[in-house]
Amino acid sequence: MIPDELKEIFEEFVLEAKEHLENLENKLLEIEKDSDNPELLNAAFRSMHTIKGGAGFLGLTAIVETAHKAEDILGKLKEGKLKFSPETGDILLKAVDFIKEAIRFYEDGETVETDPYLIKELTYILREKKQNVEEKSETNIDSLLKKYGLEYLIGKPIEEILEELVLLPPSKRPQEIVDYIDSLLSESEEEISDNTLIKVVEEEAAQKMLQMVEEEIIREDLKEDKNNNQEIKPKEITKQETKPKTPSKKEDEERVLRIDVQKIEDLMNLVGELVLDRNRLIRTVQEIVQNTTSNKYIEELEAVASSIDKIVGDLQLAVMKTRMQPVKRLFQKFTRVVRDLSKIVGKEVELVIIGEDTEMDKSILEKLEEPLVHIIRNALDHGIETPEERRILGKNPVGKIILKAYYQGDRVYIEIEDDGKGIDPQKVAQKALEKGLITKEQLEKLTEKEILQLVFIPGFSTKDQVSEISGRGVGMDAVMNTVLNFRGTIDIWSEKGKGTKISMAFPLTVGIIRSLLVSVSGRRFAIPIFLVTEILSVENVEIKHLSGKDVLILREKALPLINLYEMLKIPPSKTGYVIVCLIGNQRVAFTIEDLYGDEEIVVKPLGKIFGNLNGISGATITGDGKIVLILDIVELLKNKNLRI
Amino acid sequence: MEIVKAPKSAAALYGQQEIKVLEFLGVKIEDEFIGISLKNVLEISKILEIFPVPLSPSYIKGVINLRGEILPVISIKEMININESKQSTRLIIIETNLGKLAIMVDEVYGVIRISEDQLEPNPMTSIYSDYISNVAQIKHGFISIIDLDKLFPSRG
Repeated sequence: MIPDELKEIFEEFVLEAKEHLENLENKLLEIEKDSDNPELLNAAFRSMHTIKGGAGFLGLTAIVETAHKAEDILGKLKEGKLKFSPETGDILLKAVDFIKEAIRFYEDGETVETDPYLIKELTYILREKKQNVEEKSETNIDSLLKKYGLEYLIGKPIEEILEELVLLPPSKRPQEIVDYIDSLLSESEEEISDNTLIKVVEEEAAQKMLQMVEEEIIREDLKEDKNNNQEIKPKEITKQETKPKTPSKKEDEERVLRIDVQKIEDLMNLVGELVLDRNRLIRTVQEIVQNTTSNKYIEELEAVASSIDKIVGDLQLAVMKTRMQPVKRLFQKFTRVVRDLSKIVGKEVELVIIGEDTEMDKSILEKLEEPLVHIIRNALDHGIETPEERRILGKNPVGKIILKAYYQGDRVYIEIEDDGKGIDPQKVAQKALEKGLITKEQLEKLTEKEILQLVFIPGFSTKDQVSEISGRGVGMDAVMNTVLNFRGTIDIWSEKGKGTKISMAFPLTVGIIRSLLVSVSGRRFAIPIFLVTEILSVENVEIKHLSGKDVLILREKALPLINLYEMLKIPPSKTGYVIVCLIGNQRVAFTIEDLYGDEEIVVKPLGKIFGNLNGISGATITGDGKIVLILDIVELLKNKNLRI
Repeated sequence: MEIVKAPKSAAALYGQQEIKVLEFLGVKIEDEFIGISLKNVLEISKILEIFPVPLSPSYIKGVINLRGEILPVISIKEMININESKQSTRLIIIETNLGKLAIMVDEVYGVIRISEDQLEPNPMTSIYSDYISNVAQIKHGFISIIDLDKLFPSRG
């Protein structure tokens, strides 16, 4: 339990520790690929050290003990006394996970016990490595000496052996032993350093050796010029990339202010109110201007109103921007997810992240992790083949998953692409039939692409066995729900043998939607404009009846035509216009009575008592104080079985 | 000595204990005289323009714009199945488990104070008696205290 007087410090610690843990995780994952990079090791070490310090001050023993051991390992790695291995990475990540979990428990006011098993594992890594190094030094040097017929040197201190070696003519000098001793010396430097005499000898020897080694390297370089270049280049590039990043991050940290989300929410709500009142003000001013003979006061009023109009618009944008966050933090989590999952399923997968600086609304970002996990799990589990299968198919044994974010228009796109086996539309169709999600007649009319879309229907899953990773097919419709909740759209492409791409598009912000205002039966409704592709006057369209249903013939294609009043179960009205909406990748036409232009509207909830209305996502107040309901076209269509 | 004192002081305490007086807003819905706990009442408003919401249950008459806030308007008559013959004249804005709501009433009497011992358990078994927690005989007549938690149960 955290005593009250330390509560504030504890909260500070939690915030800081979470950042450090995230940083640690990323660094550890990078270290796995680039284990000799001292900067990465240093950064990881510092983060672990900071966590240990903070936890120590607060007396969070479980964290302190774990962090202490992990820090030891990182310290040894940093000093080159320990060699990084996959197990080391695993155990350090385990330690990070443990600390994360422990913080969660401490936050809930619970006590946390140190995990003795984890501590044992950490200690084991520390010990095992030391022993390994020592054992090697004994067995190897002896056998090496034997190998080169220098048995008389066995058992002598390394320094003496070195001296003897140095005295040998270069042509007879066994390079293997020299290299070996060199590496030994750099590892055991500290232990020997007490004795200055030895140190001098050692330094001389080391210098000489270095010269020799350098000559050797140059010779080898000449021999294997091409190969070496190829190998060295990528490493150099990664190092160059990490270097400039570090300073820029520091600058960022100094310019970042931590604010309670609630404060931003409040600000956002106030701006919402302001936007509504601004609309009202503008309307009133317009009416005054139209109905009154102009005088200087009215001119002044008009000028002020138009200035306020602009300022409020800018303010709205500025506040909205405070809610925008880069997808980086979210995306980076998946490096770990992919790493862990691919180990479990025995596949090799590389995650490529593109566009991590793309920003989107925090509230969408927060809800995106779960759907992305589902999709990536699917890609890993069902999409990517095993390394053997891939080899047979002539593919790179290492599979690739691309996680990408980018802007297009006023939407943010998140795409997940894999180069796995793709989805077989026939299998999808068969499964949908078996599960009774679709009838044979309906199926016949679907294009391949539309069939693929069936995977988003609740209760659908293509893999026959329920796998441990992807669960039971609740994944995809959960994804669909998140997407729809945020007025997003989702699309899927797949080619057999080549891979699958799932693309989600979200509005830049929540809370404010550009909408088309329409009327049906004398009541006004708002339709989010991103869905609307065309508006047609009813005189200019061709409407037909096909098997009892209305159909709009648009450029020789038949689109389902739906009477909005029917969907909303309100009295019928005459049709003045037809609007065409693009939903997913299907076009649907709606009849409406009249049009009232487009407006930026602030979404307000209707109230809990309505529950989920499946068709009305909220309401807004227009400039004249009237309430306009916002239609959720996608949900509305779900109520109706719509296929022609 | 202490043994003797103890029951005495307890009795004294019992005697001193104040009988709680509860405050209700008395309203009329058709012929029913109904009390709404004043703790839940936020304000009384005249009937504002009600915007109907399609696809919602019929007892939700729609939504109103109360100074920029959108609130659902509830017809108690429809909820508890009383035939409508009178027109509602006021909206009572109340705080419930389901957030702020406006309920339509025909008439508002004002604040009614009822001491706790006057409240009796609901003896009726009429259609809507589930929503009535207590009844009381007061000088204005027979009042039914409405149980807002039952009328608007929190979901979950």
